[in-house]
Amino acid sequence: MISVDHVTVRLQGRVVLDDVALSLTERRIGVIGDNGSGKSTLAKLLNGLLLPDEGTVTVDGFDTRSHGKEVRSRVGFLFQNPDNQIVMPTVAEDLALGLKPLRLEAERVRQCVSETLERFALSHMADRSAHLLSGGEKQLVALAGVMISEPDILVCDEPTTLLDRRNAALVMKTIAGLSCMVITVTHHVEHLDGFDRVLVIDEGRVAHDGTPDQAIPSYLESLS
Amino acid sequence: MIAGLYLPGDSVIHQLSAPVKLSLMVVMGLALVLVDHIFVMVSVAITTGFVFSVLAGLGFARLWLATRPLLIWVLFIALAQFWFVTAEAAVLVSLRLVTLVWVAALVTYTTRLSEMSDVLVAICSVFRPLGVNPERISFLIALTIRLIPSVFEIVRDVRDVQKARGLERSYTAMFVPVLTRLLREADALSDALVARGFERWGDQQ
Amino acid sequence: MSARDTVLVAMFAALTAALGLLPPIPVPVVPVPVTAQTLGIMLAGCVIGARRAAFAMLLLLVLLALGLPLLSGGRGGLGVFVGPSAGYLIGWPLGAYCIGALVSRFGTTIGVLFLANCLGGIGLIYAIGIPVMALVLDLPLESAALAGSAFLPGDLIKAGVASAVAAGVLRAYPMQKNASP
Repeated sequence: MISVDHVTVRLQGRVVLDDVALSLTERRIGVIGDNGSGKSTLAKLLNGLLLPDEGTVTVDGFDTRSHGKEVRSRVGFLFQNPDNQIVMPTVAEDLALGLKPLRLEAERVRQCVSETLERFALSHMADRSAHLLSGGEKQLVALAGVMISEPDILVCDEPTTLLDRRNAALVMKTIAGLSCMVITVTHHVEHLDGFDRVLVIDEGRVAHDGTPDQAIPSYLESLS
Repeated sequence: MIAGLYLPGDSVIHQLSAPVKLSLMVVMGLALVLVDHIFVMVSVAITTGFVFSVLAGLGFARLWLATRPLLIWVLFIALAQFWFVTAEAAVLVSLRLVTLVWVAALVTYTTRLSEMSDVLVAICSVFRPLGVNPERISFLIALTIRLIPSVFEIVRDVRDVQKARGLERSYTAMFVPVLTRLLREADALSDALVARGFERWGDQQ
Repeated sequence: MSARDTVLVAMFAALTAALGLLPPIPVPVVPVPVTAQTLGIMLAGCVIGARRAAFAMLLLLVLLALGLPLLSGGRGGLGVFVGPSAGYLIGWPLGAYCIGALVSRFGTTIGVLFLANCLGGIGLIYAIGIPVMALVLDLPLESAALAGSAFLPGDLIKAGVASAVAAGVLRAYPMQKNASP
């Protein structure tokens, strides 16, 4: 469970998030809003990549400010651009990187990597260069690289923005199949089907907070 | 992907282990400095050339390729000898230079990148008490090899854009956007590393 | 080293390597080809600071020694460390460190950047490169200096370019700044 307690964030003098208070416990949470509304900033707060100027963010009781390592071992993060997330030259090597903090034996790492590759239907590209894959494949590799360390919570920051429709649907379907808690920031409201809760962020504040049936129509209305 | 200079083969030289080859190279380098007889030097050079091209199976074309960047220097030495040294000394110095470069190139051409890395990690491990972390160093190497093609792509991209704007002659116009993009990507990449547990790699058990 | 240090070190080692892949820039009157590679040393020193820049150059030398052809013209391997220009290579990390140290001490105006690039990126590197060249070729220092001076016009141009670029970059992207929203 993540709790955001009266958090304000300023970047270069501008207030990006303004006194936001949330308690996040649902299994599937969507975050929508315009460019620059502060939704990506909110995502980065949740695993301590960004620290609040005022207020606190805690994950299972760990403050992101003082216990960054504990927080990040619980909260996985999927970025918008998989190119920035995939670090190692080949798919298998990149997946193994996610296990490095666990200090497993080489044999255990190999086994874990091959199981994860299989789970995400990536086994056939284990030794391929990660950077020559298609956008959708790269995002799946990035996702597998996060999930291999079995975080309790996955935060996705616009995971499909750079993908075409077919690949976006594939990535969202894969994310939907995960057993952990998922918080997804997105532009695509159609990907929020079956979500438990949707937050609409507008100018640094939570403008709407409810079930998809309540929040999405009000967001779409505010666009017109 | 950037490929190493290693040329696969199964010669005697290929089969020697990397530490042995590197030690031999160092010994050879020291020994060459001591050779001051021209006939000894000529025979050492011929032997090295033979080992390089025939024994290691790298061929004469490759030998020539390793020698070519040195020709300008050999020419320079030849010219300089008119003023400073004797012809014999010039030949001696030129051959010493060429032979030493052949020996070093021979090690590089016949040793896999991974074997060389292993030697590096082994050397770094000695300095572990001083705070050197060999694992971090091999990660840095892998990260750099992965970044070279991306950086080159960014340079090419920006050059195309500036060409379209008629600015291809201005290096400032070209490199400022390249650098700002690299710095932005560096931020994104370090965020990703942190998110993927980078801070916890160094933890001892 | 933090994650950011690590990435910046690798990024600028990669930049310097990638600059070696660019075709040499023909400059009239200069007898030797001018490669963009030493630009990487100067840019690193000016932009990411002394320590990180020195590590970046050291990393590049390690990659060369391991057998990667990352010098301009596709040269690399252990051979470059026993040739006449070995001293210049050894000068790279020290030169980058010197530039960074000067810049952090005297500020980032274009004049300071240019002087730092000339002192660290040319002066210091030549001060190591030329004696080593003289040693390897067994020549008097003066004639080695004469040979080395062929690169001076090109290097001065690069110091100018690197200073202008670094000044622009540091204005567009202050290095102390927090992550973007």
